[in-house]
Amino acid sequence: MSAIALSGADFLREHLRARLTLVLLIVIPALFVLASASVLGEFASALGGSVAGDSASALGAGWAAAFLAGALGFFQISSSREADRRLALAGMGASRVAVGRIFASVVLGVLISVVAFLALLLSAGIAHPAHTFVAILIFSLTYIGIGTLVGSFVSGALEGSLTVAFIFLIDAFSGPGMSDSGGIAQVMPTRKAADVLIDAGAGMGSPVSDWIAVGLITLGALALAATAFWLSARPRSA
Amino acid sequence: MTGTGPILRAEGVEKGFRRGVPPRRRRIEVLKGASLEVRRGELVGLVGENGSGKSTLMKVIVGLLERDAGPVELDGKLGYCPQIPLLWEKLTVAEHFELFARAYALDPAAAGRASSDLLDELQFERYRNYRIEDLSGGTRQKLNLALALMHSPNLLLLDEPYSGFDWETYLRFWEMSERRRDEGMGILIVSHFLSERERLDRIYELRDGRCVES
Amino acid sequence: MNGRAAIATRMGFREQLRRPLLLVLLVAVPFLFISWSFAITEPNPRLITLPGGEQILTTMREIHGAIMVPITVGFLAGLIGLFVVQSALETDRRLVLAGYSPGEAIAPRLAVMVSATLIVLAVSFAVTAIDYIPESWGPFVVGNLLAGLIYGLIGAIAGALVGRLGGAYLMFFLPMLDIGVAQNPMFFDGDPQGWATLLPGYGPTRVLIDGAFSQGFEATGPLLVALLWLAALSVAVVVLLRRSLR
Repeated sequence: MSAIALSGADFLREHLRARLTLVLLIVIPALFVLASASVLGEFASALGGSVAGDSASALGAGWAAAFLAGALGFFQISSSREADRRLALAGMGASRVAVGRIFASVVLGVLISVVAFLALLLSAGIAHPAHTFVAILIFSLTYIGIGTLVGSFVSGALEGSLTVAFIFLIDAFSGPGMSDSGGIAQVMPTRKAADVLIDAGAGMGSPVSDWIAVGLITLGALALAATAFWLSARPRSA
Repeated sequence: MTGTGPILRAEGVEKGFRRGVPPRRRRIEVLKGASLEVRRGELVGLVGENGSGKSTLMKVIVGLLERDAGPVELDGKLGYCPQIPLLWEKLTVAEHFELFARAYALDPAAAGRASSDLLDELQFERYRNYRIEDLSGGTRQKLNLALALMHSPNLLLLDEPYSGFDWETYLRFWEMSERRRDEGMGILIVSHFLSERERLDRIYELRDGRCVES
Repeated sequence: MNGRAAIATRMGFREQLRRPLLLVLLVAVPFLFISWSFAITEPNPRLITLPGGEQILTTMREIHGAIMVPITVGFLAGLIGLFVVQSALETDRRLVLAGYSPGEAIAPRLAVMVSATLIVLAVSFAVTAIDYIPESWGPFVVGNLLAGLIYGLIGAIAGALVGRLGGAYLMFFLPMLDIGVAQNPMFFDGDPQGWATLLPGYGPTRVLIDGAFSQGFEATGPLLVALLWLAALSVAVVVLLRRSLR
C-alpha cells in the first residue's frame, strides 16, 4: 500500500513539479469563477435557462474543478500504466494496485476541490459552504472517474484530452439552468451535482433524494475508475 | 581510419543540476571532473551505482546535455543508443530506418543494405512493417540499437542497451559488439552488470562524480 | 523542400493519419458544438457594436453560433500545437543528433499543426453555413484562420515550456476565457474592455465579427494587431524550438 502511496506521490510530484502547473491549478479556477459570476447568468438566459448570481459562480467553480479533475484522471492512468502492470506482476496484484490508485485519485480530487472552493470563497463568498464544498468535490470525483475511463480506452495524450474536453463541454452545455432541461441533459453525469451546487450557491438546502443520487453517481464513477485501473494493471497474456 | 589517437576523449567533465524551488533551491553536482577515453577496437565499460551519473556522462558526450566544464573530443562518426528507446509510436520499423537513413545522409542503396543486414543480425526481420506501438520492449530495443549502427559509426555509445532482451538476443548482442570491436569500432557501454567484466577490455567506474579505471 | 524535411513531413502526416480517433474528433467536435450552439440558443434580440462603431441588431443565436467557431478552433488548435510539439521534442532530438538541422525537424511539425487547424476550420465553416451565412465571408474566414494559427502557436510554445497537464489546462481554458468570455459580444455592449484588447483573441475576434455581421470592412486596426501577434508568436516558436532541439 505504501508503494502505491509513494507512486501516487511521485505522480503528483512529476506533474505538479512544473511551477506553472501549480500556478495554473490555482489561477484557472479563480478566473473561471470570476468569469462565471459575470457572464453565466446572461449565457444561461440565452440558452433558455436561468441561473442567478451566486449560483452562477458556484457552478463555475464546479466546472473548473471538473475539467481539472478530468484531465488529471486521464494523465494519471495513462502515465502509470506500465508501472502499475509491473507492480501487479511483482506480487501486489491488480486489485490492490487499483485500490491504491483510487485512493490517490480521491486525494487528488479533494485537492482540486479545495482549490476551486477557495477560489469561490475569495472571489464571490459562499452562502452554504459545507454543501458547496461537497458538491464541488462530487464534480471532481465524478470527473476523475470519467478521465480515468477515457484513459483506459484512449492512449494518445492529444486524443485523450480532446475526449475529456468533449465530454466536459457536452455536460456543461446541457447542465441545469443552462438550457430548458430536455432529453440528454437528464443523463449527464453531473446533472444532480449541478442541481445541488446551484441550490447551495443560492443558500438553500437540497432534498435528500438529490444527495442520495449524487452519492450513488460518485460511487459509480469511482467504481468504474477502479475497474479501469484494475484492467490496465492486469498482466497481458501476450 | 584517421589517426591512432583515441576516438573519444573526455577530460574533467563537470555537470550539475539545480533542484528544488527557492528558497530551498540547491545545486547537485553529478559529474565532478570525469575523464575517460575510448580507443579504436576497444570495448570499454562504464559502471557505477544507480544515480552515479553514468547516463548523465553519456548524454554529455553525445550532446544531449550541455556540460559545465571539461572538453569532449570526438574523432569520427558517433552512434548513440539511448537507455529508453525514443521512437515514434505510429511509424513502422521500416519507416524509422528510412528517416534515419536520410538523417545520416546515406544513399538509398547503402541504407537498404544496412537495414537488411541489421534486421537479419538482430533477428527482427519479420517486424519490418510493424508499428512501434505493436512491438514488445525487447524488439523496440533491437530497433533502437540498429538505428545507432546504421551508418557504421567509428564510436558506439550504448546506454544499458539490452533491457528487454531474452537470453539468446543478449548473447547475440555481445557477439555483434565483439565482432565490431575486432573490426576497429570503439564501443563505450554503460552497464551495471558485474558479470560482464570479462567481456570488456577496460572498465571505468563512476564514483563520486569521477571516473576511476579499474 | 530538401530531402530531409520532405521525408520528415511525410512521416509526420502519416503519424497523425494513423490516429483515427483524432481525425474523428477533429471533425466531430466542431460539427457538434457549432451546430449545437445554433440549435439551443434562443433568438433573443441583441444590439452589438461592430468595429468602426456601427451598431446592428442581431440575435443571441447568431452571435453564439458565430463565436463558437473561433472558440472551437482556438482550443482545438491550441491542444494540437501543445501535444504535437511535446512529443516531437522528445523524439525529434534523436533525428537532430543523427544529422537533421533543428529547422528540418521543426518545419514538418508546424506543417502538421497548420494542416490540422485547416481541417478544423473547413469543417467549422461548412457547419456554420448550414445555419447562418456571414455577411462577408472574407473577414470571417481570415479572422478564424488567425484565431487558429495564433492559438496553435501558443500551444506550441506551451508544449516546449510546460508539462502535459498544465499545458492541457492552459490551452483549454485560455481560448474559453479569452474568446468565449472577454471577446464575446453576447456579454458586453460596445467594444471589448481595455484589458481584453491585450489578449490574443482580440484581433481575430473583431475581424470575424465584422465579417459575420457587416458587408463592409472596418476592422483594419484589429487585423493589424492580429498579424502582429502572429508574427511575434511565429518568431518565438522558431527560436524556442531551435533552442530545445540543439
